[in-house]
Amino acid sequence: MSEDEIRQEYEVLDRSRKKPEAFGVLYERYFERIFNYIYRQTDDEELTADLCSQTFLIVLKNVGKYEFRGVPVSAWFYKIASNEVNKHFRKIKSNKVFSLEQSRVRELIQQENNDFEEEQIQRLIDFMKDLPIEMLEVLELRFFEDKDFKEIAFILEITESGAKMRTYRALDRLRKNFNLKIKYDGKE
Amino acid sequence: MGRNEIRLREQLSTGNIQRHRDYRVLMKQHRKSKLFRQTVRFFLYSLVVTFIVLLLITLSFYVIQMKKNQEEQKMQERVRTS
Repeated sequence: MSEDEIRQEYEVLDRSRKKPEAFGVLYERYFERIFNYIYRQTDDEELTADLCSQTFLIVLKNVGKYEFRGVPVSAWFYKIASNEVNKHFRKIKSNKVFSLEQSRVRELIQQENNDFEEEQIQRLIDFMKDLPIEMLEVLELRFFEDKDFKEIAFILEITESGAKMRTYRALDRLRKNFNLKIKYDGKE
Repeated sequence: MGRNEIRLREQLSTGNIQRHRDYRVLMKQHRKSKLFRQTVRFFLYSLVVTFIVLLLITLSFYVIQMKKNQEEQKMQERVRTS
Protein backbone atom coordinates (compact mmCIF):
# COMPACT_ATOMS: atom_id res chain seq x y z
CA MET A 1 0.00 0.00 0.00
CA SER A 2 1.46 3.35 -1.03
CA GLU A 3 1.91 6.33 1.28
CA ASP A 4 -0.80 8.20 -0.65
CA GLU A 5 -3.32 5.37 -0.27
CA ILE A 6 -2.58 5.20 3.46
CA ARG A 7 -3.18 8.97 3.72
CA GLN A 8 -6.40 8.75 1.71
CA GLU A 9 -7.80 6.06 3.98
CA TYR A 10 -6.83 8.07 7.02
CA GLU A 11 -8.72 11.05 5.59
CA VAL A 12 -11.83 8.89 5.21
CA LEU A 13 -11.45 7.81 8.81
CA ASP A 14 -10.92 11.41 9.83
CA ARG A 15 -14.14 12.43 8.05
CA SER A 16 -16.07 9.75 9.89
CA ARG A 17 -15.23 11.42 13.22
CA LYS A 18 -17.89 14.00 12.45
CA LYS A 19 -19.96 11.98 10.04
CA PRO A 20 -20.01 8.25 10.96
CA GLU A 21 -21.78 7.45 7.67
CA ALA A 22 -18.51 8.22 5.85
CA PHE A 23 -17.01 5.13 7.45
CA GLY A 24 -19.04 2.93 5.07
CA VAL A 25 -16.27 2.95 2.45
CA LEU A 26 -13.75 1.44 4.87
CA TYR A 27 -16.33 -1.01 6.22
CA GLU A 28 -17.07 -2.32 2.73
CA ARG A 29 -13.38 -2.52 1.90
CA TYR A 30 -12.22 -4.36 4.98
CA PHE A 31 -15.21 -6.37 6.21
CA GLU A 32 -14.26 -9.55 4.36
CA ARG A 33 -10.60 -9.41 5.36
CA ILE A 34 -11.36 -8.80 9.03
CA PHE A 35 -14.01 -11.53 8.90
CA ASN A 36 -11.52 -14.01 7.48
CA TYR A 37 -8.88 -12.97 10.00
CA ILE A 38 -11.24 -13.59 12.91
CA TYR A 39 -12.64 -16.77 11.40
CA ARG A 40 -9.12 -18.16 11.12
CA GLN A 41 -8.85 -17.84 14.91
CA THR A 42 -12.28 -19.08 15.89
CA ASP A 43 -13.48 -21.54 13.22
CA ASP A 44 -17.03 -20.56 14.12
CA GLU A 45 -19.03 -18.52 11.63
CA GLU A 46 -21.63 -17.08 14.01
CA LEU A 47 -19.04 -16.18 16.65
CA THR A 48 -16.92 -14.57 13.92
CA ALA A 49 -19.90 -12.49 12.77
CA ASP A 50 -20.42 -11.25 16.34
CA LEU A 51 -16.76 -10.44 16.94
CA CYS A 52 -16.47 -8.79 13.54
CA SER A 53 -19.42 -6.53 14.17
CA GLN A 54 -18.04 -5.79 17.65
CA THR A 55 -14.70 -4.86 16.07
CA PHE A 56 -16.27 -2.31 13.73
CA LEU A 57 -18.41 -0.91 16.55
CA ILE A 58 -15.27 -0.33 18.63
CA VAL A 59 -13.62 1.31 15.63
CA LEU A 60 -16.56 3.69 15.27
CA LYS A 61 -16.63 4.38 19.00
CA ASN A 62 -12.91 5.21 19.15
CA VAL A 63 -12.49 6.87 15.80
CA GLY A 64 -11.99 10.23 17.53
CA LYS A 65 -9.02 8.89 19.49
CA TYR A 66 -7.17 7.34 16.55
CA GLU A 67 -3.79 8.89 15.82
CA PHE A 68 -2.05 8.50 12.49
CA ARG A 69 1.17 6.52 12.89
CA GLY A 70 2.14 5.82 9.32
CA VAL A 71 0.45 2.41 9.12
CA PRO A 72 -2.75 1.75 7.14
CA VAL A 73 -5.94 2.19 9.14
CA SER A 74 -6.66 -1.46 8.44
CA ALA A 75 -3.81 -2.34 10.85
CA TRP A 76 -5.83 -0.65 13.56
CA PHE A 77 -8.88 -2.76 12.59
CA TYR A 78 -6.75 -5.92 12.80
CA LYS A 79 -5.41 -4.85 16.18
CA ILE A 80 -8.92 -4.36 17.56
CA ALA A 81 -10.06 -7.65 16.02
CA SER A 82 -7.10 -9.44 17.56
CA ASN A 83 -7.87 -7.93 20.98
CA GLU A 84 -11.53 -8.92 20.69
CA VAL A 85 -10.61 -12.51 19.82
CA ASN A 86 -8.15 -12.70 22.73
CA LYS A 87 -10.75 -11.20 25.06
CA HIS A 88 -13.29 -13.80 23.96
CA PHE A 89 -10.95 -16.74 24.55
CA ARG A 90 -9.89 -15.36 27.93
CA LYS A 91 -13.55 -15.05 28.88
CA ILE A 92 -14.40 -18.63 27.99
CA LYS A 93 -11.03 -19.82 29.36
CA SER A 94 -10.12 -21.65 26.21
CA ASN A 95 -7.24 -21.60 23.73
CA LYS A 96 -7.33 -19.97 20.35
CA VAL A 97 -7.97 -22.13 17.32
CA PHE A 98 -5.97 -21.73 14.13
CA SER A 99 -8.20 -22.71 11.29
CA LEU A 100 -6.20 -22.44 8.10
CA GLU A 101 -7.45 -22.52 4.54
CA GLN A 102 -6.18 -25.70 2.92
CA SER A 103 -5.75 -24.00 -0.43
CA ARG A 104 -3.71 -21.16 1.08
CA VAL A 105 -1.43 -23.59 2.95
CA ARG A 106 -0.74 -25.47 -0.28
CA GLU A 107 -0.20 -22.21 -2.16
CA LEU A 108 2.40 -21.05 0.34
CA ILE A 109 4.18 -24.33 0.62
CA GLN A 110 4.17 -25.26 -3.02
CA GLN A 111 5.66 -21.98 -4.12
CA GLU A 112 8.92 -23.67 -4.89
CA ASN A 113 8.39 -27.21 -3.81
CA ASN A 114 5.96 -29.02 -6.06
CA ASP A 115 6.62 -32.46 -4.59
CA PHE A 116 4.85 -31.65 -1.37
CA GLU A 117 2.53 -34.45 -0.38
CA GLU A 118 -0.50 -34.87 1.86
CA GLU A 119 1.53 -36.65 4.48
CA GLN A 120 3.96 -33.79 4.65
CA ILE A 121 1.11 -31.31 5.06
CA GLN A 122 -0.15 -33.35 7.99
CA ARG A 123 3.34 -33.44 9.46
CA LEU A 124 3.58 -29.68 9.04
CA ILE A 125 0.26 -29.18 10.85
CA ASP A 126 1.49 -31.42 13.68
CA PHE A 127 4.67 -29.42 13.86
CA MET A 128 2.77 -26.12 13.98
CA LYS A 129 0.77 -27.42 16.91
CA ASP A 130 3.90 -27.17 19.01
CA LEU A 131 5.01 -23.75 17.83
CA PRO A 132 4.65 -20.97 20.42
CA ILE A 133 1.43 -19.04 19.86
CA GLU A 134 3.39 -15.79 19.32
CA MET A 135 5.11 -17.35 16.33
CA LEU A 136 1.84 -18.61 14.88
CA GLU A 137 0.32 -15.14 15.20
CA VAL A 138 3.21 -13.59 13.30
CA LEU A 139 3.17 -16.29 10.62
CA GLU A 140 -0.56 -15.87 10.18
CA LEU A 141 -0.31 -12.11 9.69
CA ARG A 142 2.72 -12.40 7.44
CA PHE A 143 1.68 -15.22 5.16
CA PHE A 144 -2.11 -15.31 5.33
CA GLU A 145 -2.82 -11.59 5.58
CA ASP A 146 0.23 -10.31 3.67
CA LYS A 147 1.07 -7.75 6.33
CA ASP A 148 4.48 -6.09 6.41
CA PHE A 149 6.60 -6.09 9.55
CA LYS A 150 5.63 -2.54 10.50
CA GLU A 151 1.94 -3.46 10.47
CA ILE A 152 2.54 -6.73 12.32
CA ALA A 153 4.41 -4.79 15.00
CA PHE A 154 1.52 -2.35 15.29
CA ILE A 155 -1.14 -5.07 15.42
CA LEU A 156 0.63 -7.25 17.99
CA GLU A 157 2.02 -4.30 19.95
CA ILE A 158 5.62 -5.40 19.58
CA THR A 159 8.63 -3.74 17.97
CA GLU A 160 9.30 -4.07 14.26
CA SER A 161 12.57 -5.88 14.96
CA GLY A 162 10.65 -8.18 17.33
CA ALA A 163 8.20 -9.02 14.53
CA LYS A 164 11.08 -9.74 12.15
CA MET A 165 12.82 -11.87 14.72
CA ARG A 166 9.73 -13.95 15.48
CA THR A 167 9.06 -14.54 11.78
CA TYR A 168 12.67 -15.43 11.15
CA ARG A 169 12.75 -17.89 14.06
CA ALA A 170 9.47 -19.51 13.06
CA LEU A 171 10.59 -19.92 9.45
CA ASP A 172 13.96 -21.17 10.58
CA ARG A 173 12.28 -23.92 12.59
CA LEU A 174 10.05 -24.81 9.66
CA ARG A 175 12.96 -24.88 7.24
CA LYS A 176 15.06 -27.07 9.52
CA ASN A 177 12.29 -29.60 9.89
CA PHE A 178 10.72 -29.53 6.47
CA ASN A 179 13.29 -28.27 4.04
CA LEU A 180 10.78 -25.68 2.85
CA LYS A 181 11.67 -22.83 0.60
CA ILE A 182 9.32 -20.14 1.91
CA LYS A 183 11.26 -16.91 1.85
CA TYR A 184 11.65 -14.70 4.89
CA ASP A 185 9.92 -11.77 3.20
CA GLY A 186 7.20 -14.08 1.86
CA LYS A 187 7.77 -12.98 -1.73
CA GLU A 188 9.26 -14.72 -4.71
CA MET B 1 3.23 -25.82 26.83
CA GLY B 2 -0.20 -26.92 25.61
CA ARG B 3 -0.57 -27.89 21.98
CA ASN B 4 -2.19 -25.41 19.65
CA GLU B 5 -5.34 -26.44 17.91
CA ILE B 6 -4.74 -26.23 14.18
CA ARG B 7 -7.39 -27.17 11.68
CA LEU B 8 -7.38 -27.27 7.93
CA ARG B 9 -10.54 -26.20 6.18
CA GLU B 10 -11.98 -25.12 2.89
CA GLN B 11 -12.07 -21.42 2.13
CA LEU B 12 -15.26 -19.64 3.21
CA SER B 13 -17.29 -18.57 0.21
CA THR B 14 -17.78 -14.84 -0.34
CA GLY B 15 -21.54 -15.46 -0.28
CA ASN B 16 -21.30 -16.86 3.23
CA ILE B 17 -19.38 -13.82 4.40
CA GLN B 18 -21.74 -11.38 2.65
CA ARG B 19 -24.57 -12.83 4.70
CA HIS B 20 -23.07 -11.16 7.77
CA ARG B 21 -22.19 -7.84 6.17
CA ASP B 22 -24.75 -5.14 6.95
CA TYR B 23 -23.62 -1.57 7.30
CA ARG B 24 -27.10 -0.28 8.17
CA VAL B 25 -27.32 -2.62 11.15
CA LEU B 26 -23.85 -1.53 12.25
CA MET B 27 -24.83 2.16 12.09
CA LYS B 28 -28.02 1.41 14.01
CA GLN B 29 -26.03 -0.37 16.73
CA HIS B 30 -23.52 2.48 16.77
CA ARG B 31 -26.25 5.11 17.21
CA LYS B 32 -27.86 3.02 19.95
CA SER B 33 -24.64 2.56 21.87
CA LYS B 34 -23.77 6.26 21.42
CA LEU B 35 -27.17 7.23 22.84
CA PHE B 36 -26.66 4.83 25.74
CA ARG B 37 -23.21 6.28 26.49
CA GLN B 38 -24.55 9.83 26.31
CA THR B 39 -27.42 8.95 28.65
CA VAL B 40 -25.06 7.33 31.16
CA ARG B 41 -22.71 10.33 30.92
CA PHE B 42 -25.60 12.75 31.42
CA PHE B 43 -26.83 10.76 34.42
CA LEU B 44 -23.35 10.69 35.98
CA TYR B 45 -22.80 14.41 35.40
CA SER B 46 -26.19 15.17 36.92
CA LEU B 47 -25.29 13.03 39.90
CA VAL B 48 -21.98 14.84 40.38
CA VAL B 49 -23.61 18.27 39.99
CA THR B 50 -26.36 17.33 42.47
CA PHE B 51 -23.75 16.12 44.94
CA ILE B 52 -21.74 19.34 44.61
CA VAL B 53 -24.86 21.52 45.01
CA LEU B 54 -25.91 19.55 48.10
CA LEU B 55 -22.41 19.86 49.49
CA LEU B 56 -22.42 23.62 48.91
CA ILE B 57 -25.86 24.00 50.53
CA THR B 58 -24.75 21.97 53.56
CA LEU B 59 -21.54 23.96 53.80
CA SER B 60 -23.31 27.31 53.58
CA PHE B 61 -25.83 26.21 56.23
CA TYR B 62 -22.96 25.19 58.42
CA VAL B 63 -21.17 28.52 57.91
CA ILE B 64 -24.37 30.50 58.61
CA GLN B 65 -25.00 28.47 61.73
CA MET B 66 -21.43 29.06 62.90
CA LYS B 67 -21.75 32.81 62.38
CA LYS B 68 -25.07 32.82 64.23
CA ASN B 69 -23.51 31.01 67.16
CA GLN B 70 -20.55 33.39 67.22
CA GLU B 71 -22.89 36.40 67.22
CA GLU B 72 -24.97 34.90 69.98
CA GLN B 73 -21.85 34.31 72.02
CA LYS B 74 -20.75 37.89 71.46
CA MET B 75 -24.18 39.16 72.50
CA GLN B 76 -24.10 37.07 75.63
CA GLU B 77 -20.63 38.36 76.47
CA ARG B 78 -21.75 41.93 75.91
CA VAL B 79 -24.77 41.39 78.20
CA ARG B 80 -22.54 39.87 80.85
CA THR B 81 -20.01 42.72 80.74
CA SER B 82 -22.70 45.42 80.77
